[in-house]
Amino acid sequence: MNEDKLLDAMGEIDDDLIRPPRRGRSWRWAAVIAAAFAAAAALVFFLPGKISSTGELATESFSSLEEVQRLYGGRLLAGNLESAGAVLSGIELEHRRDTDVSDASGWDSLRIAGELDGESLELSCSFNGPESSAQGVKLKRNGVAVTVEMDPEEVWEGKHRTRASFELDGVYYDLTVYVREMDDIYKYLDMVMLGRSISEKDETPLYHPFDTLMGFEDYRVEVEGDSFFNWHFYVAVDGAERCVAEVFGFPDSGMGAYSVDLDGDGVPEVVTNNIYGGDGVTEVKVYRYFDGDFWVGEIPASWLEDLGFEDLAWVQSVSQRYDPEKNVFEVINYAGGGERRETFTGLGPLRFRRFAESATDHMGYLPLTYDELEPTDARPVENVLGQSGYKVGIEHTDPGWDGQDWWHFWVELDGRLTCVAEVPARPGEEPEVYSSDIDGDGTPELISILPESPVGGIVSIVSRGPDGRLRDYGVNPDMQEEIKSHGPEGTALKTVCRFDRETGRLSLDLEDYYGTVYYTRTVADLDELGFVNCRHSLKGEPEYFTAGDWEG
Amino acid sequence: MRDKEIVELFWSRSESAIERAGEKYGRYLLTVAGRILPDEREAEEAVNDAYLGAWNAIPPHRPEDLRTFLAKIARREALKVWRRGRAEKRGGGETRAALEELSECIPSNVSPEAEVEAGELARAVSSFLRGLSETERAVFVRRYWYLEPIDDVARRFGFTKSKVKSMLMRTRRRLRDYLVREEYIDE
Repeated sequence: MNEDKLLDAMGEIDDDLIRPPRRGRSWRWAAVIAAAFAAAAALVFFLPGKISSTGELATESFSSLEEVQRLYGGRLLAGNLESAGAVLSGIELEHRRDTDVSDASGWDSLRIAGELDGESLELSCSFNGPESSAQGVKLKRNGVAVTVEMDPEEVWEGKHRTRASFELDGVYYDLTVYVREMDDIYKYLDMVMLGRSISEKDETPLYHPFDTLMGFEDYRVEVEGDSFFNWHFYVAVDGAERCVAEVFGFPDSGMGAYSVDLDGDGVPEVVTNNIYGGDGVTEVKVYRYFDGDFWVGEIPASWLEDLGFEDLAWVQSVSQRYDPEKNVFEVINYAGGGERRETFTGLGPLRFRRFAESATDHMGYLPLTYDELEPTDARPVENVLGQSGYKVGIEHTDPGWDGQDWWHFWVELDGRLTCVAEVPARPGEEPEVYSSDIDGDGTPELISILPESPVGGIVSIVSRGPDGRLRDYGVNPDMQEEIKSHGPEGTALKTVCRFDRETGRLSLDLEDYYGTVYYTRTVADLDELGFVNCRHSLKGEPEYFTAGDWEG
Repeated sequence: MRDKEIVELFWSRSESAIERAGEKYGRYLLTVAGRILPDEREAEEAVNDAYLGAWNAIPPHRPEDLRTFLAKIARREALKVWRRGRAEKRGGGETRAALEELSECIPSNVSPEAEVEAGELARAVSSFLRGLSETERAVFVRRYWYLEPIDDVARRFGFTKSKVKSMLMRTRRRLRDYLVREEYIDE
């Protein structure tokens, strides 16, 4: 006998040893048992001679967390469950019998049961210390120390009972959900903490470059991107997390974010050097917190025009940059065969408007609203991200730019009409778009194969992940190089994207300009592609208006 | 469609049996085969062979648990393909690592030709696994039936990697002692 035989024998063990236990003790049963004990305990309490005048608890049921929140008065994260969309089946508050329920000082615990995103969960909030000591993995989430514990023996339909415990503002929270993987608890934890799910964090979470972010000590940075970088800075305001600053650029490009008090009011601004075009030309944005709100400032075009700066078509002719060593803003105009520089300090000519998170797209332009597009009844694809009732609007661009039509695809996401893709097409023609579930997660991706360029067709795949965020996938440069390595040397080659309607497969063909295919790679795993943002939105100068004026 | 209904399709030799089985369990079977065969085409080939294997086995079998029945066949077929690849020095990964680990269960002086009837060995392993705690059994099955990487096993159970490795090592030693004690192998 050898190990091969043993491996084969493992394959033939009894069926019940292979599948997980059919049913474990679910929280529902625990609740039933607990209720039975509570009922018995209540009976004991009411027996003559056995009533204790102190420490006895009464239970009140509520129909909404809003009422509980109102009575509590302080920050209670449980309220986030409703804003996250949870359907609640039970809200019970235990309080000292000798105090009124409206007196939060007498509260002992709050238990909430419900369903969120298809999963049952239970949240308990203890006001007098933790109910039990938390064992498990200790980590930080949204700036709070959390202990996550997965019970390998408590299994229900392949999911493990997992508990996340943390303390905030003197309240001890215990969130219990049945999940398949330990990481799956984070989505529910974020919904409790923030009222919504957020995207996955960078592998180096809690990147913390500044002591404070515009005066806020508790903040976090989210880094997304692969061939480009988009940093988002979040702070919690009134119990809800909000993005208050962003910086965009490319690796080793000179992008950066700096915390500096430009106006001397004691609250530092966040100054960012952004690079949108990949050509190394920087653009400055300054983020400020004042008058109770967050603002973003830019150097207005009018100031540059007054300086006599020339603007060249097709080329970024004005570079703006903050020099952190000299604490000076510098603008350089590359025109007329030379360069001209101007500098300013402090807030200078910066013009501010209220900041709406990611109002601008990756090119730094404010995108068109649906009403600004030309409507069309054309249906180039059967559904967009699974929604057959999607809307389409066409943007016609000036032949002086690229002369293409840009088809904007809109769907309902979280109750808002949202543009999820902008796909170019030759004027008068429909774009080449397909719908297929590439990653097998049950939600089809929107695949756009853009008009063939001299170096081959480009693909853009818009996918909505389980965290609700949209991601744009494309063929990253390393993958391009790897595919090309399969072709003959000395031959001009291109990568062409093709979609097979019958199989729903997307493939990348390496071929020469006569159409001979040397290699084919089937795309089955979105993670092997890159977060290359293939959407190019060409606009004029951004207009300044408040966040309330723009509806996405 | 319920398992019983799909099994009935097999029994009635309906051509839609495989299609229905594929709709319900195709992705799961691909995952089982994919752990052994990282090449997608080979994994699909193994899954298709599993469907053929099921067609040939039902009837006379009438599996109560169709999912596990199909997964066993898929695992078997995938291992066949993997072994062919191993002969041609292709592939590796978790299957090879799992084999190396399981070799610890076989004393070094046991001849590879020493005969043990396959079904008998499977029954012995089943009996041994029933003697373990639920956690030890679940970890062992995830590693050596599902061929799940140790990192994934650790994450699944909320354990550290070193805890999973220690647990597996102890269980393998106990399996070896069990096989020797029950005289499936000589020491």
